[in-house]
Amino acid sequence: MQSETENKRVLVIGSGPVVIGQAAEFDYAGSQACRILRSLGIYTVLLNSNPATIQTDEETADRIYVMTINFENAVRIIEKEKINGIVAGMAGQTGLNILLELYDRGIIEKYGIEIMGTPPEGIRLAEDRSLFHQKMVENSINVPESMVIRVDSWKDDLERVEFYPFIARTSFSLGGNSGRVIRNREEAERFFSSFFSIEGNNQLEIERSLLGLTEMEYEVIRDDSGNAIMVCNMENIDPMGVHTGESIVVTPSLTIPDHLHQEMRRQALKIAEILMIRGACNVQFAVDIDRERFYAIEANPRTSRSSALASKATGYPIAKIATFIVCGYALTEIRNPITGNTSAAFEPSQDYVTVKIPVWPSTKFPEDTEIGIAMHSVGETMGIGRSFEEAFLKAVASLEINLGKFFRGDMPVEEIRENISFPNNMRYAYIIAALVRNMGIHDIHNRTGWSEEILLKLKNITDLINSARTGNMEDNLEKYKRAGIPDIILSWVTGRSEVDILKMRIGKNLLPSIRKIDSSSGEYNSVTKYLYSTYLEEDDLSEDMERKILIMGSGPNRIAQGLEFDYSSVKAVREIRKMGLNAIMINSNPETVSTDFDISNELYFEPLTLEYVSGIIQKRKVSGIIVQFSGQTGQNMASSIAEVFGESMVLGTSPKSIQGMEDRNLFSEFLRQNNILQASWEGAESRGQIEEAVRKMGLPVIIRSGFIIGGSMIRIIRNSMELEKYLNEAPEGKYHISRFMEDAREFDLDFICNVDQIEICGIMEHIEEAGVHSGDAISIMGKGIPEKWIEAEGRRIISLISGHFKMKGFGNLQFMEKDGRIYVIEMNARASRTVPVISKFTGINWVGKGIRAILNGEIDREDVHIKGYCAKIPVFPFDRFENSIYALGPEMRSTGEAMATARDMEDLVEKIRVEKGIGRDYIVNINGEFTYFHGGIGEKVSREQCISIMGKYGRKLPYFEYDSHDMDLRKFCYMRRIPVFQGKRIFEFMNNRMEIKNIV
Amino acid sequence: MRRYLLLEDGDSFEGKAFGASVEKSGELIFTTSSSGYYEAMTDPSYAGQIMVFAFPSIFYYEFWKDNQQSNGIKAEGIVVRDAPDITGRGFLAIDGMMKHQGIPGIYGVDTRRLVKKIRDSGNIMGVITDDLNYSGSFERKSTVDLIRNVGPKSEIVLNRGMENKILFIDLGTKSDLLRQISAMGETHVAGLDARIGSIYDYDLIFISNGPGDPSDPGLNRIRDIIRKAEGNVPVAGVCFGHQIIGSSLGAELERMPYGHHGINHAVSDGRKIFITSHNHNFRISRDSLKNSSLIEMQHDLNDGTVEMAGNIENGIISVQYHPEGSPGPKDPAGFFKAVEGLSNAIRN
Repeated sequence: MQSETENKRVLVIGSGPVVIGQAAEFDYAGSQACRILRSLGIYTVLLNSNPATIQTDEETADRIYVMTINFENAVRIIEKEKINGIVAGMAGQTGLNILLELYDRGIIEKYGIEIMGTPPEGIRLAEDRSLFHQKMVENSINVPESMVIRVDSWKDDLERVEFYPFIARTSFSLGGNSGRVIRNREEAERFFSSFFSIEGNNQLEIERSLLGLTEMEYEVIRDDSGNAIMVCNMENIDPMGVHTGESIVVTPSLTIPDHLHQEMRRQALKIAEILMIRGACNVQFAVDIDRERFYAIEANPRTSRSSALASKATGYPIAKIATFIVCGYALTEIRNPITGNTSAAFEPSQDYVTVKIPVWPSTKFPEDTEIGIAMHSVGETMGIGRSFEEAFLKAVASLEINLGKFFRGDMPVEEIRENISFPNNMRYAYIIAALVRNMGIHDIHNRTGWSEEILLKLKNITDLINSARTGNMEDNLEKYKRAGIPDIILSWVTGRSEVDILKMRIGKNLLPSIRKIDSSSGEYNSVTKYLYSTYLEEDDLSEDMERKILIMGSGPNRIAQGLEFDYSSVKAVREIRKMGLNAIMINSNPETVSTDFDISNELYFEPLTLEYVSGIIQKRKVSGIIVQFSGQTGQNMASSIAEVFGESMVLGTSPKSIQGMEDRNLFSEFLRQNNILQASWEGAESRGQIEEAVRKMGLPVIIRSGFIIGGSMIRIIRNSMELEKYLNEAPEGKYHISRFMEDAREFDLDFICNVDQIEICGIMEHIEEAGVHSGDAISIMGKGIPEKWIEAEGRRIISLISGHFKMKGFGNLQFMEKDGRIYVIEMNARASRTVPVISKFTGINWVGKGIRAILNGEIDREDVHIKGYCAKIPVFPFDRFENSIYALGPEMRSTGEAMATARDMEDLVEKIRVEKGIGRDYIVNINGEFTYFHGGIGEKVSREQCISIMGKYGRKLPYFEYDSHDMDLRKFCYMRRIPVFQGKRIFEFMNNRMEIKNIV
Repeated sequence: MRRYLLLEDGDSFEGKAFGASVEKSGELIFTTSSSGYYEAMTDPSYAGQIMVFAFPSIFYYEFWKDNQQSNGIKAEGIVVRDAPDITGRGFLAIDGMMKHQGIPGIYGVDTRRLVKKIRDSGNIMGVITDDLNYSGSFERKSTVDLIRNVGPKSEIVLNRGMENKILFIDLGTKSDLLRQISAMGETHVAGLDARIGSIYDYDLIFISNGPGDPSDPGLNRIRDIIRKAEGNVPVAGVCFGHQIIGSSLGAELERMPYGHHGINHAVSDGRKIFITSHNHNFRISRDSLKNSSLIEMQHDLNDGTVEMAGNIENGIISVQYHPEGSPGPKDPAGFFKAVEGLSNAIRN
């Protein structure tokens, strides 16, 4: 153990904006790290540009720098804060890259900084594919066989090949997917004779193909004394060929015999030793169960998405323990925080099963459904159950997607067969549909690579579900609940509402049983209340607490409902506890801080459906539930909760009022009656009515469906072709059609209130024109934004709305300004995505104030003194979606955001440039005319010249475009990660051509 | 079909039947391992015990992929949570095998409640029965009977002709343990009642794992052998054998509240830790070790159980955990190597 923690000044690197492949899991890891460092009395400094995370909350570190994560900023902080230790292993690849750069450029040595984590040599070893391979072979680790086939000896070389099928890599591409799979000798001869007939092809490396094998992961923790343990193993249900982040994963492994598991475990610990791991490490294997062989594929020398999942699956907080280790503690000196009374040097055991299902942005990028070796998913759900089946189905319920058509069995077999035959983001649902339709297990196995045992278990369930659909559900309810079938699935197949089924269960006294996760299968008594539910078992929790408030989390990370809500949930829990009340958290997202077991008084890791929420309400007799921090999820559930438990069970704005604001047509009617302007609108309930409405108001229009997360099925329709396309895709339901107002400015106003007492938290102005989703626009805030009259008008409007709907707690108003008039877009009776940014910029704990408003009706006025300006800068995943439509619009598609603060507007623009990694030069395309601005001079260029200039300067040279729709060029840029800015306002803003009104 | 697990304190658990339709009683123990079930079920140390799997979703792979530890299932009965119904090849195969071998099973049980019960009320007897009004007894089988039942019926010699001669006292060994030891020399496997000639003919005396109570007087003959061998012939043992060696040389034994059964226990040698495989309800009393000729070499990190004891100069070493793994990690601290080195130590 180190004694000099008092003099330690540690820089923790954060992971920046949420992007696909590097997301909320690092919010979780980084926040844990900071908390442990501070608890050890270490002066903790954080660098992270992400405002949405709890990690950049003032309570997390001693000093927080919300700015671009780059070498220059890191060095500046190191100098200013006299840093002598660095933690970089909690921030994904970003952290390791910064560390290596600081190391290579001599900063680490110059300032005598201790690298608190795996040393650069170890990191390099893990990252360099051929070096890794070589080291593994030296240490007798199983790696896939490989061989070089040469032009002059290829026939003899082939004689010696004993590992069919193999991959012949014809080019060295990232991720190694552009290879050809060769199955036998005959194919090999044909392939090589043609390959070597081409001039210049002299040799080729071949490697055993691992496609189709079972993919396994091992989570390892290792300390300075060389003690190493495996926290858990994870079995990917989708076979090799599907990225582990895209695969359904079960913990612990189910189909791996013990001797294979033990040998992989041993090699994983050995690999951690070879890589000189200090802290956490993840090792991946491909297993051929039938041949009893396995191969090490890769190792990550840091915390990862998998370590977050493993922490939640086992209750063993990997990042926390890893932080103790990098502070010099041995595993034997650390207590297991979950039991409180055993050592951290042990391997957790589970008496339950967890299943993770990835969440894909399928409604946002409907053009790209195929999955494979690259990540597309933006989040994940985890189901915990007392059987694999229960865990799997709870993970399905946690997705918050209606999969009724897959469970009902009315889908054509042809469609099912086609969709299970290649990896895609709905394959798990099609597999269920295949089982429901009684397709052969062997056939499904052959098409999907899913284990037959797993399929047989699921078949059990689909048989039961079939019986519920066709038979008497009520009589067999006990059987279904024992088998782990959630109410919502029963609701999908029977057409009975969730409320009906809930009432049915209450009538039969079939309530969930509360079980504890203790990391030891009950072997040791645990003090922590990390809980989940099952049915027809004993409750692990009997003691009661006074005055309990249930907080609903926001579920899996999705585009438009992500980390921001988790930030608010965590802040809400902290405020409730500060008030001396007990906070109970329910959430289904393994990647977040809110599902860390020591945040709330009780944590329920459960799907956010009526069943599980009401289970807690009943079992724990809570005083009320707060749904304002759960994004759209709670808004959608509020009226069902009220139907069962009464309106007063939902704290804050009542379910009835929520309903009144969520129903666009009702709400628009309210605005009309109160003379509040809005774009002209019509309601519609059929395709015919939509057409009729459009004819009446004329194009362009915005069409949306009600109850939306991030604007699903919202489209701007500019011409009749687009209208036709929309109508073809539109399902039955309620629609709201409004006139699209061009060239308007859009604003986001967040406030807290108690009916007529109102306090505005902040107003952000979008730089892009109205019509671009608020999550996708660069938004700014600061002195003089917006103009006084706009603020006054906004205040008048929210007073009217809040007074009418008797709002209590958070509210968020979106509105437009055009030609001196204000038009309302929408109103949400909940905390919005912008709450974290505004809290960080104003330095005020708005969530805390909101909680006091909800619980006590208190609105304590405080003068908001803001200094300078801030910008919220979204990041987009377009580079991963090749077939996407690359236009910003009302459908949100950014995955995360960075925040920049500055003293004046010019400085703010500069900070945005730094965040985007661009200089002052740019290319602009106005109506097909291209201009290349460099060194302050504009030069007309052709489109071809423009492409070649972009090719030359790459990501440093941004591309602006307005009054033009050059999709190909946008794609060209996105695929190369060249920053793209769309619209006239952003062009003028970024190039200091826009006059921001009223700024003093 | 309904089936019951009845406990001697009157508590009962309801579930569904699998395996053989016979009534079996035994001491309830739970194991926390989530894999290696067949290895555990065939471990003779479980004779006389009803085995509860704390991990619910088991039998997902086919049992023949596990390394069988004896010629059949040795536990009296099996209790599992899993499944609305028995399906899957793994479960069906186990079901068939248990029917064939006369081992009853019960599934659909709230095993977590059962585990907590065993944890809190200590060693408790139970019976698996189809009769809710079971009126039979909950008597424990005698240790000697248990050992006779699972031990070798005749003398066996393995690896005949190898230079080192080993006397392997088999009180119900796991086959992987025997495999590891017999690789070191010509191994004479002797059961509890076997005639044992001169111990001086051997280069190593090894005491295996086994079922029952290690303090049973029926084992005194073996304790005599160990005392005679101390300082003359190397002695080593595992689990039950470790306890017998300890009790032979002055240490006392104690019954643990609910024992260790799992593959996740950390053992420390004072410098490093190792994760080890455990299956025992008794242990050497740590305090009593000072009255013996042995010293503690490794201990359990959580409860201080003596995990390795020995006296290298006198040629003695034994471990409480299972260095052969199966299920669990294999020989993390090099016990077998240490055993091989014993003869050298004593000769010098």
